[in-house]
Amino acid sequence: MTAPALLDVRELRTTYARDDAVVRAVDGVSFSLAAGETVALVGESGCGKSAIALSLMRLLPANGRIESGSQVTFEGRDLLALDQRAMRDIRGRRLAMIFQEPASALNPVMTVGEQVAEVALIHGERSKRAAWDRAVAMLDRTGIGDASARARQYPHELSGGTRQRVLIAIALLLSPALVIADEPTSALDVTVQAQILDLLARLQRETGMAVLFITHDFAVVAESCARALVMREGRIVEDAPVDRLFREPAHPYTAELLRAVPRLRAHA
Amino acid sequence: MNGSTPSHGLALRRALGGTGPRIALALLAIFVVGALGAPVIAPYDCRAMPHIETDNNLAPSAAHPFGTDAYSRDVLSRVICGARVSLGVAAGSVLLALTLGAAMGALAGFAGGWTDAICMRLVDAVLSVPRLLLLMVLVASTGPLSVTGIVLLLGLTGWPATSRIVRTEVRSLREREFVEAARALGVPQWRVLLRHVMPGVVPQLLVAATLAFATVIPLEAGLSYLGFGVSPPAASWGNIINDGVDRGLDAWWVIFFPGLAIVCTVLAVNTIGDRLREAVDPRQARLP
Repeated sequence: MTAPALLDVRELRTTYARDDAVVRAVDGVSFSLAAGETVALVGESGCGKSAIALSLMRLLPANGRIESGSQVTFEGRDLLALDQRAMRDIRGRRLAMIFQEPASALNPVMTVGEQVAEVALIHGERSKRAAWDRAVAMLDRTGIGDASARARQYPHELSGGTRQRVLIAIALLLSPALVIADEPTSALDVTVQAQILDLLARLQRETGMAVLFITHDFAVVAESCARALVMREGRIVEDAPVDRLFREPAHPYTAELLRAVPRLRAHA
Repeated sequence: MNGSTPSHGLALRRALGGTGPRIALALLAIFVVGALGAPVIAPYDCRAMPHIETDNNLAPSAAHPFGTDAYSRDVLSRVICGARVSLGVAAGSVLLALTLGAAMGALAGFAGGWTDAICMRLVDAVLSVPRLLLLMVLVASTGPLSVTGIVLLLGLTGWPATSRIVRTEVRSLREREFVEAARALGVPQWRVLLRHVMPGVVPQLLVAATLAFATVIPLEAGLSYLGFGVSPPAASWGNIINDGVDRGLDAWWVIFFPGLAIVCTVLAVNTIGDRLREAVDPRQARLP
């Protein structure tokens, strides 16, 4: 490896306290991401994909804990050692997240323009006018038609696909180095899914950001990612380029997952 | 769509449609106009006792639609002036109670943990003190209170109910995904609370306001009736009744009209409050 990795995760262990039991959601996970890379994190629900995302963002719920010995290095900084203030500065600016449910990830009582502009305002933009203009320009870049009018609307007035574009605009406004996309297309219907994936690919070419795709959908993996990490019960069982993964899965679980994808008979 | 409608205005208009709420709103409007314009609207001077020997306890007539009291004062004028005091005291103390309750509820619900535990024990403590008794003891030891004093007392003892409502709402809102999304953008905690959580509490706060108002009107009337509240010659609905109670039913009008004003206000506020609550929380709608 020549250049230092953008993100390097070593022996990440995350646990959740449930009543008396301690659940190991992430159980010693190591991987790294290069700048501009697109990597999928695949696995069935409950395997710990989202716990990894929340650990990287340091947004675990009150009963969640990152165990000592875990190490997360992002842009050369030890994320787990940062105080809240420094972590807040990174969130949304260098490290952003696209949420799964565009309907619930947007604030119902704020216009979408205000919500995009807020990112700029909390990360140093002084002028409300300038923040608003940047928000409208970003909404326009995500392919939302008549962006300056849409910016004045509330989330419930927009379609699911448009809302997801708004979430993408929020995440990408400040050109972060890494975007974690947690099931960004699962709540959308298939034609809109394709549009959103195309949009992400285009914006990625334009900005050079890295994307960590959290998904259970191998169609998304095949379409968008160069490399995939296959997760099972809190561990990464396979880390391979996507074309090899589909051709000759090394781990039996990967093969099992691939067989579980329904196919039309004509293709089988 | 989920329960929290972004367009509060529309939901409000829908909630307050129909005959009941319209009558309630009209009644309240009349009282508020009367209270605000009391000096102009009242047909007689509220405090003047023009002919105390001849004109006391006159039955309702064209000259005095609500009759006169034992001091020959026009009861209609005193009910109008009393509206100014009674509604003013209620509005002031509800505003104070709501502010305190919202702040306390937001703090407890958002911070959770120890802060929450301490705040809620404080609420339990304040709730366990009988308000009327506390107010009476205070007045007995310090003498008659000014109107400001009464507002402060009622406000400072009236916030726990609101704080519980706000706390519950904040606790559920802070788990919502858009609040987590705001954190994921690096929004500082205080801004998450003020910009993303509290606007969602506004509908519940409106309901809490009606509840508090409907509680405080009879409380102030009771205090003033007992002589612990607004002191004569200033009129409040409670102390007008007190003025008429010696003569009892012989001068029923002195008791009846201010009493009617109290009942109408509480009924109207409760009607509006019920409809608002149904609009805010459809699960509670139409419970027997």
